[in-house]
Amino acid sequence: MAKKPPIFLERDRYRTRRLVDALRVLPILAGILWLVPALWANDTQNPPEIARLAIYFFCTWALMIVLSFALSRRLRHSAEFAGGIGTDGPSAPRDRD
Amino acid sequence: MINFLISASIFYVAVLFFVAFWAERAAAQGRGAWLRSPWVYTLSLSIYCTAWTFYGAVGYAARSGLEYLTIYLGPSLVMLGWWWILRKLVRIGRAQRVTSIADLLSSRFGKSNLLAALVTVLAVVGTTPYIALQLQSVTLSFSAFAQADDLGMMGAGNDRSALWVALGLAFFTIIFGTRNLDVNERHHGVVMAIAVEAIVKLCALVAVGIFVVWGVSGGLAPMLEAINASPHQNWHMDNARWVALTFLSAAAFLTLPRMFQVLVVENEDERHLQTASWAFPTYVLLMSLFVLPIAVVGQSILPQGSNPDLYVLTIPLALGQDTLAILSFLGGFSSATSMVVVASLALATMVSNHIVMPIWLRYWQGKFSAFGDVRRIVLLARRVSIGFVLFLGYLYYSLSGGSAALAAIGLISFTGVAQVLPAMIGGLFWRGSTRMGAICGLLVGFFVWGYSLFLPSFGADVVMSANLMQNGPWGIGALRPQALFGIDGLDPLVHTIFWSMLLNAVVFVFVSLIDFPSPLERLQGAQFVNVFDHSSATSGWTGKAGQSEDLMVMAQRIIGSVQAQKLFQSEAHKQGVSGFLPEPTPEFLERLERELAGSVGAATAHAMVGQIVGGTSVTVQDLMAVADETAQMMEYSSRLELQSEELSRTARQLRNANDKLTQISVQKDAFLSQISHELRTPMTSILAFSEIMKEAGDLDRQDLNKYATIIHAESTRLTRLLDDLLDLSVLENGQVHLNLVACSPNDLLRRAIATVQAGEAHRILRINLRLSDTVPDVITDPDRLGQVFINLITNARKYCDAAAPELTISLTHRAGRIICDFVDNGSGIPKEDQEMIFEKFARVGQTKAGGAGLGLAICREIMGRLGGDIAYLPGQGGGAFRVTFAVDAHNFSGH
Repeated sequence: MAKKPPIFLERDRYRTRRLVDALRVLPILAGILWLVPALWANDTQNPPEIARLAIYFFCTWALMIVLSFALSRRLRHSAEFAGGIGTDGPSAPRDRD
Repeated sequence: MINFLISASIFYVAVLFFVAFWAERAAAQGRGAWLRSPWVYTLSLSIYCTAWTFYGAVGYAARSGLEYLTIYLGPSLVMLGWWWILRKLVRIGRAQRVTSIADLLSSRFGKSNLLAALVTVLAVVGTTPYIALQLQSVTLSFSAFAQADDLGMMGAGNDRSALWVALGLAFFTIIFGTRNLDVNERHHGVVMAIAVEAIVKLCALVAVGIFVVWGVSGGLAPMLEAINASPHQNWHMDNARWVALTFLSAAAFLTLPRMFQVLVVENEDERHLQTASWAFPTYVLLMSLFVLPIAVVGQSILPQGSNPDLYVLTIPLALGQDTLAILSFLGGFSSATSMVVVASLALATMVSNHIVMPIWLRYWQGKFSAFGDVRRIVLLARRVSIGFVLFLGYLYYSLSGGSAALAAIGLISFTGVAQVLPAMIGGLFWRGSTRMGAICGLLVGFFVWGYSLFLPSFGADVVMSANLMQNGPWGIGALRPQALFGIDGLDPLVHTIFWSMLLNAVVFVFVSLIDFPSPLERLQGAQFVNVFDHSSATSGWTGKAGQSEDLMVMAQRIIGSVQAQKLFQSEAHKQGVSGFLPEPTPEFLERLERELAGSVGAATAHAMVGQIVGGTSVTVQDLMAVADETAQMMEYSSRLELQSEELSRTARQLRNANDKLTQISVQKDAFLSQISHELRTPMTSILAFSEIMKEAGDLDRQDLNKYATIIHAESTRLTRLLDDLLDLSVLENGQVHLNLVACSPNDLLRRAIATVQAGEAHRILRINLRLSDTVPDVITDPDRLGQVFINLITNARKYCDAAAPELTISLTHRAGRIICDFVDNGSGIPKEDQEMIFEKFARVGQTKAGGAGLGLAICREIMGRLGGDIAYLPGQGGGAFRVTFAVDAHNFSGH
């Protein structure tokens, strides 16, 4: 019989899972942030200054880079991934056919 | 100045050659740890920034404001989201030994070669204009300098410099890209060179940017004011274009053949992705930071009508900053060359693996023994393909006349290549996607792209008539190329991205839903989608004993004899079999196929193994394994099956051992009678002649001499036989004293050959000696080792049955051991005898030449004492023996 996966994980693995969740969310957040000017710049009569837009893009971009850097730093030190960026655990969804 | 520029670029190219050469050497000598650092990986990704982005981004910004950012934001999104797609892609790339994007799709969809060929054609069509664009950018930047020099080097000169650049790039790529058929398809030289170029282009662009902001505009605040006062102040975001372009650049980042090459194929370690996930966005951020300032300053200080695509170059030139201009030229040159090198390398791999090899394989169908050296053919195919791809790029450039139309081709090319995306993503995440679905989706997407974007891009009345573009084919308005289904007023690019991707994905999904995939497809699908669950593959082959030698012959021709022998030996070792021929277990065949796939692609490797092993590769059991419901039952029965297989293998090994024992016993009996005979014959003549000499007192001197000679010769023969027996028993009992001194294996071999050749002259054996200068001196017993060499050479002379006997002796040094191969051109030793030849008293067949059959047994004992080994090497086209021994026999001699 295959062992049933545990429902709860110990603290370290739990933290790692949430770290991975953060990694997954990051590009979505970036995508949304880079669409914000689409709402903001919609006013064709009185468009925002282009320099401000540029500053907005570069700042959010830098922010994303810093977040990504911090996350990958944390991930490197986390226990579960010491042996390589590994497998999705038992709780990961599996495709069935 | 133009002359200085030319010498600067030639010097720069020389530096690149040196870097590439040095990296290759470091990697070959195993001291290239830094070559595998995540930084080199990140920098190599920068081939995304081609000359089109280096020069063109400024032009783009001058024309459409901040929109140029989308080209960089898309890839940044992909890198930030590496956990979603790239991690899986890289893992699969490594697990399946994928060699290109075409290989990925082919491998996922049942190792289909049709699909691979389709993707290859698509990639070539999509990339050729892009290569032309790079050539154009280099010639344009040359002519910008020429104009500054008032040389007016236009027209024919342009074409010539493009030709030179194309030739130089082909040369570089062929040298470093096809030096050898790498099992892992990794090219350290190329990767290192493009990493250096990545630094150069970044420095160049940042230097121009700093000059423009602080040197020309006088600081950050005035610069921002200037930007707000520029004609861009009224720029507003075109939402549709913004989203479409971001998506497009993200898609292209994943699907461009050259990006796939550096992202997946050249990846050394999955963890490099972690670093690249923030370092690559940083790189592109820096690349795009100064684009808008440069564009604004260019528009304000340069005369009306100057080409904004060249602002990066013309601003420093106009302001007399020649050094900066040359740096900027080198940056653009770097962008162009690194892109062309990697793109042509990736395309050449695809063309040779998916178009040339299948045709060639079909031509030789069923005659694998007639294959010849496959490696040479693959390498030749790659070299020719590189030349071909670059020639196409050059042709496109000169036909399109280097027109402004080329500038728009970057995005058009992206859109074409992005058609692979639905099949790729579907293949990675959806087990239900099928080969037919992928093929149909690709064809539809590609057709829509060609019809609505690529062909119209040449302008009205060039390929498509103006009437067709205005009113649609046969006057059907709904089919107008740039307003499909009557939706008018869309930007042509957005229009094509939308319709091609939508129709592509819809057809892909729909056909996949109604199609029924083949077993191999379903297996591969499971392996791709669940790559993190199954790290070990489901094996499909069922081999029969006795195919190993054929497999070895084939493997040697594809991955080279050194690699193949290592692979077979390690597998044999794992299975507990001595020698070079493992049992063809399913696991081994799977492993072999994967190794081959690393050189010639999945589809070709599959076909080649199939030709030898024969039969279908997927069993009902494997299919049941795909269904998770029955997995447990399967596990049990497969364990049973494994056990029974194990049992039958053990039984086979026992049977072999038994056969061997029986054979030895038979031989021993035979030997006893043989030895009695051997002892008896000389004894008889000694007795007879000594009796004659004793009884007949009046023999004349001549007869006396004759009889004494016979007695002497017979006694010598007896002594030699007894010596051999004694030698062997001493060696076997371990009482031998070794006389260990330092000596050169090269000299030992030469001496052994001289000894043998001095002995007899009536049978001529040609000896080809391949010595190696890198072989160090060894500490061994020179007399004993020499004895082994002499024995092997004498054997070759005695038993080689070729009309013109030839013996090739080659000496190599690998991993602290000396390897010496003796290969002759005779018919070799039959398989059933290979096991026996090292046994005492063994002789192959009933051979004519005398000898008690002790020679090889003695050799084996000697080599054992010297910490080495002697083995028969099958599959070399003749009798072949391999002698290996340690550089220092001290550790083994039992002192």
